[in-house]
Amino acid sequence: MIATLHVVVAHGLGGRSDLPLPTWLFTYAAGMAVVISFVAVGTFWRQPHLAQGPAPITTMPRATGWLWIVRGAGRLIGLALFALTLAVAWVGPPNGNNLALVMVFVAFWVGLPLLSAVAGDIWQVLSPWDTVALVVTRLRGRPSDASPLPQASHWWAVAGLFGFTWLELCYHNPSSPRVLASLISVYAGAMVLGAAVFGRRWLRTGDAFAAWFGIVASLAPLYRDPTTGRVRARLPFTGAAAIAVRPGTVALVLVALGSTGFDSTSNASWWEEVVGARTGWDATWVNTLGLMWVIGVMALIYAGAMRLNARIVGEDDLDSLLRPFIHSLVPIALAYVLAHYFSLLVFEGQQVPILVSDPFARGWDLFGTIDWTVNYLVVSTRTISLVQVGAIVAGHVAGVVLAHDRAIGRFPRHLATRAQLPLLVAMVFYTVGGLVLLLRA
Amino acid sequence: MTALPPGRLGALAGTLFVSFLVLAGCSSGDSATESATSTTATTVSTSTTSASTDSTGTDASTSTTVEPGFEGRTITIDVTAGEVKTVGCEQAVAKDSTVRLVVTSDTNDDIHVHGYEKEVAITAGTPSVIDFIANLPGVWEIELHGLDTTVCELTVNG
Repeated sequence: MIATLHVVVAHGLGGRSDLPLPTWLFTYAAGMAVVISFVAVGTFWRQPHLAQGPAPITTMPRATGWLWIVRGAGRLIGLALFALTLAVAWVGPPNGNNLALVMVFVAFWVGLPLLSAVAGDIWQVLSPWDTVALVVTRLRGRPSDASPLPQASHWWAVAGLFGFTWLELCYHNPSSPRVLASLISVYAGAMVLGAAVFGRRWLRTGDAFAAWFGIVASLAPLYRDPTTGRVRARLPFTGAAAIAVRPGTVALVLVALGSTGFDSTSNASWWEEVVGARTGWDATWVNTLGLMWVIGVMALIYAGAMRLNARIVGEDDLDSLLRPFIHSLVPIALAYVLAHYFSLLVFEGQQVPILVSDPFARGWDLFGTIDWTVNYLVVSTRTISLVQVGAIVAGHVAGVVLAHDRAIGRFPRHLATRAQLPLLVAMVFYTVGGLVLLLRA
Repeated sequence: MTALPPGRLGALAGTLFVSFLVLAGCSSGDSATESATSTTATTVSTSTTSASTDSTGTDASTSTTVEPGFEGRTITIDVTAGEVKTVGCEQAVAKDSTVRLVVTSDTNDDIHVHGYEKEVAITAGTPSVIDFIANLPGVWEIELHGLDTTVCELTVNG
């Protein structure tokens, strides 16, 4: 019994995992992470560059002219995809060959954050609950401000994100479309209720996916200038320096990091032995403990490093640095997602066009694609390994750069170098740990 | 660059490298098994020949489908009273080699090789033989649907 995504997704075609990372590739990547970290301490820039927020490179020409069309179309697409997914989950085939599973666990949960890291915060437009809230506020003649509430916390989002990863990785029957349908309905209801009580702006921090995808989107080279509404370009990853860190944001990033880490861990044979012959709720509870344990380890490493850092710079409050540096873990969390789910996205994602031809198992062939099969040779195992290692190393470099920039801006010059070391060591642990998990993914 | 005392920097570098080596050491254990599993076709074929002779030897009375002299990997899966015994699954197979599953169960069941999409009904007491060319690299689950158990995770090296 393996509680992993490839069991969740499409019983008929799934059941694949990646080959172990070649050891030479692991050794090079881990060595690079260590070397890069030390180079960072010694020779990176000595003035903070990102403290004022990322400098825009360019403004897209006449961006506001056509942007409303794109956004409007995005809202319609978001609503349509949500309605299709929910309907298929409720009345489609009751087994693993249900389109809703691929839509939620592959396209939405893996595809959307990766797309957001490139194209910006697209969930703001796709979010069906935000569209509902927008329409309701417009109908009532209220001004529809979508900016996040300044005082809002991320704790609702932490609960939502933990709940989603628990369903995916711990719950014993995540590939039941009916269970998924019930939970989607409950979550959608909670979001609409939240928006009704706290206003539409609450969704930006209260919806787990708005919060997490929004944080990931801060890494994107494209963003929308909040004052002018124009689409602008910036250097990739630099936007993370401007993340608004709220109560709960630290936990949100650590839950995201830890859940992907647990998905890798739960593939390992030693974890399968821990779960053993347990099934049903017994397995669910063991996996729940495992998920909490991995998130806890990630949190302990981070908190330990930042407390040591605070001690080095003589802060009175040892926890005062937890929030200012959490943005540097966001690229690492995204790298975990790409490294761990790249092949899933490429292979299982191919099931969307197949299953969408007959979403309700009525013998339809709406798009003539029902006979397509998943092409497992579309990317080679070597390419998969290189993407995995490239993602982990790139995420590490981005994290080190972000932390370095914050450290030299915040700490006295004579302490800045030494103060960076605990977090650098923590990042080496995350990176090498992530690579170790890929040795037997 | 504010100078860190050289001794302290050295100590830190040492700590980092030790931690790196420890982790690399953990992995080199894996690499040893990995290089053992990805060895040449000769070792694979010798081990499979013995496995296939085993299966022909034990099943000779009941089966006429398992012919001797088969070149490739034979994986035998025997189910008795819900207990699964899988032999020959541990080692990785080379891409494009031939894999033969010999499945015997005391109940009717369905065996499913993921990715290759081989799905064969098993009749209680009768060994079923499934041959396929392992041309898709990756780690693939082989599953008994009736028992709802993964009986083998077949590694096909790329």
